[in-house]
Amino acid sequence: MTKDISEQVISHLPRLRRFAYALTGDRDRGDDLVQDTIVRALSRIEQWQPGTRLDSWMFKIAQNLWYDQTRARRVRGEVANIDDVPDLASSDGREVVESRMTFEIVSRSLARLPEAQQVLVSLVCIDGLSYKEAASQLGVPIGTVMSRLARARQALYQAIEGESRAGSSLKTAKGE
Amino acid sequence: MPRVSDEQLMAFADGMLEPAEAARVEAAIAADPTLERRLHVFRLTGDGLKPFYDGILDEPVPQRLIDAVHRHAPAAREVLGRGTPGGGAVGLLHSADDRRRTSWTPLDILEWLTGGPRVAGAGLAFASAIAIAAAGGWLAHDLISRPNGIAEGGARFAVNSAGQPIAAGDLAEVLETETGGARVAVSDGEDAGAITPVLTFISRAGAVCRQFTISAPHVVEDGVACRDGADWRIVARIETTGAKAGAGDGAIAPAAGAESTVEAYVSALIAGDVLGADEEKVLRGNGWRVPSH
Repeated sequence: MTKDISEQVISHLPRLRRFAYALTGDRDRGDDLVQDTIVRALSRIEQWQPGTRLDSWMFKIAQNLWYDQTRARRVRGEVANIDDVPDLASSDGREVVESRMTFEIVSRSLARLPEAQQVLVSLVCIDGLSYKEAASQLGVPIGTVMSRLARARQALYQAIEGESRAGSSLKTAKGE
Repeated sequence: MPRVSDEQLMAFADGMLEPAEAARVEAAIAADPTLERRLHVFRLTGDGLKPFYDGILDEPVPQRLIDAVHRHAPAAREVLGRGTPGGGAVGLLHSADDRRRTSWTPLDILEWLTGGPRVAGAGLAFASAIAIAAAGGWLAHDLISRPNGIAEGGARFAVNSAGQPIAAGDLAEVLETETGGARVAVSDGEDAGAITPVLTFISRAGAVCRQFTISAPHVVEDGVACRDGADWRIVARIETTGAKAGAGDGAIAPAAGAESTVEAYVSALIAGDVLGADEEKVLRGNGWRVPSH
């Protein structure tokens, strides 16, 4: 059925919310991003090419809005820099185990990545796009997606490792 | 031992490798414990992340977002799939007035299909097709002047939310799934009949269109349906009934008039040649959209 455009947009909102939740690490801020995406998308709906995927187009808008926001916040010094994360060489070799991961650890770690890596990880690992779909979404070759994604995930792993350590030392400091 | 790259390990962790390569990587991991540690990075950051975020999918979407959609949606505008002869698709927005419109003329449909009068050299073909359509009696009018819902022809035709006729039921199924011009036996209530996707072509506007014939003991319909989003939009439909159809051996042949009208219509719309069965299969695999580039 040629559905009304509103219905089509609404049908994509759950996935868009998950994507925005992954990027922002916060439900309300995620929904703010989704709301901005809706307004931006519908105000320029004629730029969407029917026959192409509306969801991909909206994800791209959300992604660009996120870049704009993050850049602004980075300028204001509100965004942690990836350089703050210890690299793998300096880690104590303890492996992060899934059972120790919490949402806070994951989202704080994701927030430490540069925004392009956040987007890539969110698209593939959380939204479930294939490498090929992500390549088409980002307009880069699949080989580039794979090498960037591998680097992003290694950086994320280090961040998770750092965050879990910070979490356990915090607990220790509190006497637990 | 062959080196295993991070990308390979990642693709292995994500289950994205071909079985042969997956087996090779698995063997390499078994032989080299350091690979297990590198693999762990990708396991943890792959399937390990989703559970933290998937819960939101089951939550109701907040009302403020739904409201934002309704507030900012171009007031009841309908976006129609429409390609240009150049290959790039453009959005065609119809106003709220158009949406409520129940009478779509052959000219409207022709414009939709061909990208409008801008198409050079198509003018004459338009004119003759319209003339023929007028002479042949335009049944799409009857179909679409009905209220929303199922139109005549049992569940074989319906209208979309913009009031345009679309294929439904077994007709939609045959158009969607059958290639190669084969007759497909269908049962229309008590009447046995058949639907034949006669031929497939690309319209001047870049839409995939299929000429079809529905034959039943007492009625034969010829028509053309063009892909519009997920629908098969009926752009021509000529029904031939009873004596005029010249019932002979049960399944009647379409009247010459109806057939030639539909064929003239096809000639007015077609860009290039009628497609072969292989090309039909490729299009079917692509959701009946013309692959871009």
